[in-house]
Amino acid sequence: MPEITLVEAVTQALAYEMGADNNVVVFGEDIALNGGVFRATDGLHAKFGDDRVFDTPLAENLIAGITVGMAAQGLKPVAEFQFMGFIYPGFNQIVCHAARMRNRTRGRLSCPAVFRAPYGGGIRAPEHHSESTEALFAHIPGLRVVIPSSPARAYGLLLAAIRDPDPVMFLEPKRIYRHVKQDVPDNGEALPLDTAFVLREGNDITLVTWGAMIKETLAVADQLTNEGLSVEVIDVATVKPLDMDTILQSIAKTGRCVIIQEAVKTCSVGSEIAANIAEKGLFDLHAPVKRVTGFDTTMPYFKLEYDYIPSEARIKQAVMETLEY
Amino acid sequence: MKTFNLPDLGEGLPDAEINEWHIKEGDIVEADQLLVSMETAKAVVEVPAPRSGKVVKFYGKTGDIIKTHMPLIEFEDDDGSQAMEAHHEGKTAATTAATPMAISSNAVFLLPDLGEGLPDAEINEWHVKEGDEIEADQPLASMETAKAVVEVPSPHSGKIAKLYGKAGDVIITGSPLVEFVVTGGAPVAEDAGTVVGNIEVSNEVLRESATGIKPMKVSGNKIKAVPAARILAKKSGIDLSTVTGSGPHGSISVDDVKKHLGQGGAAVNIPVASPVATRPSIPGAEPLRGVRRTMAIMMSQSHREVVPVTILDDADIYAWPKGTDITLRIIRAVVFACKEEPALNAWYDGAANARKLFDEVNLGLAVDSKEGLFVPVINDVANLDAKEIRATVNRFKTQVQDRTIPQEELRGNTITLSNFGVFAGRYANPIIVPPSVAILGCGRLREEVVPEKGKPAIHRVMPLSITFDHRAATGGEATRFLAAVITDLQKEN
Repeated sequence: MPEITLVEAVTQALAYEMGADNNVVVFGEDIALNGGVFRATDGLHAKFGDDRVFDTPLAENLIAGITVGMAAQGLKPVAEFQFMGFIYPGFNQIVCHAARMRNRTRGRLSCPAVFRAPYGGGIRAPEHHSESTEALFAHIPGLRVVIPSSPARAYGLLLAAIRDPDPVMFLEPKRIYRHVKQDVPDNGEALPLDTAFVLREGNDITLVTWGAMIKETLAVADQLTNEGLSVEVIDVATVKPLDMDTILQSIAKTGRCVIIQEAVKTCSVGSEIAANIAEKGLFDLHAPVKRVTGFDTTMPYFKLEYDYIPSEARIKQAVMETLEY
Repeated sequence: MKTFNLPDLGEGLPDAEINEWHIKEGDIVEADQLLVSMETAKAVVEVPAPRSGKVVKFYGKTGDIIKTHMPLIEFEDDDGSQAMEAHHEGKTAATTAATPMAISSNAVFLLPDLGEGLPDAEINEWHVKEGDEIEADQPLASMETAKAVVEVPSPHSGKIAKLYGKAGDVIITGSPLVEFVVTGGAPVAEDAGTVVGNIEVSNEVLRESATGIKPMKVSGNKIKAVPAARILAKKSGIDLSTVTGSGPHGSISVDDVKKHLGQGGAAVNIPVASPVATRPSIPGAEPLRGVRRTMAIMMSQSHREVVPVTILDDADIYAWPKGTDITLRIIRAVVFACKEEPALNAWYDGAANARKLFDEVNLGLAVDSKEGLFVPVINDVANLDAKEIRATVNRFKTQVQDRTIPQEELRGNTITLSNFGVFAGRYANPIIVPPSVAILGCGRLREEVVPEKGKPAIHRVMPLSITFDHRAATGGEATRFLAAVITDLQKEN
């Protein structure tokens, strides 16, 4: 079994589900003939043809709109937005139609659509290609927001997203698209869409993160383990709905928590997790919950982007402050 | 000759098709005059001339596809070019004499756009020379653009084969700047997609399950208290475990701590277990690390939580044939006893007062090492044959000594065995590590005078010490368990 990257796991999941279900169609800008700017749809057009894999005009409102129409009428569209920063022209369609289809029709119609978008910084791209705005979508009732952090989870979660009867925002951390490889059996096995994953088990502190920040967080966790500490690392994976049970259980054990995210701090997913901990885990806390985040500013150009994205040093400092509290 | 390579016409477009030439070979063109309309995956784009001069060659006709950064047209080499002077204020344009085939994308580093849509840049100073071995990100040259002087870092490590130009030369964006020597199996970056920017690529393989790990549910730390109560307790030097909580789920409030202080419970001076070692009060004391530290924490936890009772007895092993594998017999006896009396093969959650009995026996084996105490676990030991168990025990011993034992094999024990008698010691009061509820200790074998048919006889006996958590099991259950262990041990085979 060849080991594959996260972006190849996306392709593998799309190919598997297109083979298994004729209703799955894939479209977006440059995704058919070119195979996508990140090669996420490479080879799908050759395999499944014009009817099921096609290029759209540069019109995100249209992409989101036809997705809603197709999904409401029985297809299972998987639309790609080339960069998350380009998604806003389609925001109205996603928020006002996709997310509300089931509610608005009192259950007569649903919207089994997947909106894929590479997100986050760290690839030396302009700022509107680099932001992390998962919280905008997590805020909307009716949308699931899923962010994989490994090739295996990209595969399993994308399959689950396509099979889910309601709309799913599938945000791909492009910084780690090719950062590691993993053996991902092409067996069609989906992962749950409401479960966080524990990547390191420990008793001293809980680090909660998702997406590309897994990389720095695990690096810090491993450093601290070498220094004799016992660190638990949780990959949230499904930003909406949040699996607070797993996080709270961990905090009941460790009593300490640091949340790490690339997104800006204010009104973020990290804010939501911290609020939940305050509501349901307060008596277990031995120290205030800390957030290590991007800054409340527009994502900078690439010269400064690694000053913006939480570094291992920033994470480690927050962890030590929390442990020593 | 000066070759004009097709620039990237969009955001990471791999190629474009020639739609229509607006000029013909031999024409003299002005800078910015439209040369050709090219069709990309996105749109039809007009490509302007980067400079003035005579066009001597097209690298394709209508319908042909030109790859991005490959030659599109060639200008006549006009020896310094007056036209260029106008455009570049008297500085000569560097020769970009790369033939199409010479441009191997892995070997030649093309000048990137140093700003937003800057057409070219002038070499201010080279920081490297041909033949240099350089590292990725090492500055290659400082280049002066229309906007600023910019340091251009190397995209990868390697040896420099060629520099395309000297200080003062102007390099057109997208034209070759540096050529690297591609050695034999040189690491050729995989196609990272036609992308804006750069994606980190590696061949590192992740060994991790898709679903992560299932953490063991621990009864928890533990003590529930509002944060203000914790601070007050810390400041007053009070061990929170000595404070009775009156809040929901037994949580401790600020008033509880104050009441405790009023009762003269202050300053017992037991530091609250903090994961970061507080500065040792013993001068020169080294904080514990790793396994030894974990042992200390676990033992303290056990001492705080567990209500232990230890029962002592002997098993008469006179009937054993010579060469009997002692460890295997003890393991067999534990498995037998777990079947007879399941209450000790269990986990207990003290915070929730909840107990879980197990069908399978996951036997923890206390193994001593220089680093500290390890307890590797033989899972479902009841379903292994003697050979497999022996092999596992031997493997654990080796792996513990050379620290190669995988983390997964160090958790999940439902009952524990400590065969401490190898060294010395008859009886002990072994310590239970939560959430398990029992541990059996085997002491040093000895000869003992025992009554046999009314007369004294000398038999070999094995001293046994079992500790159980009285919160989770009754004395009856524990003694029945111990009786079953003895019964099985006393069999001949």
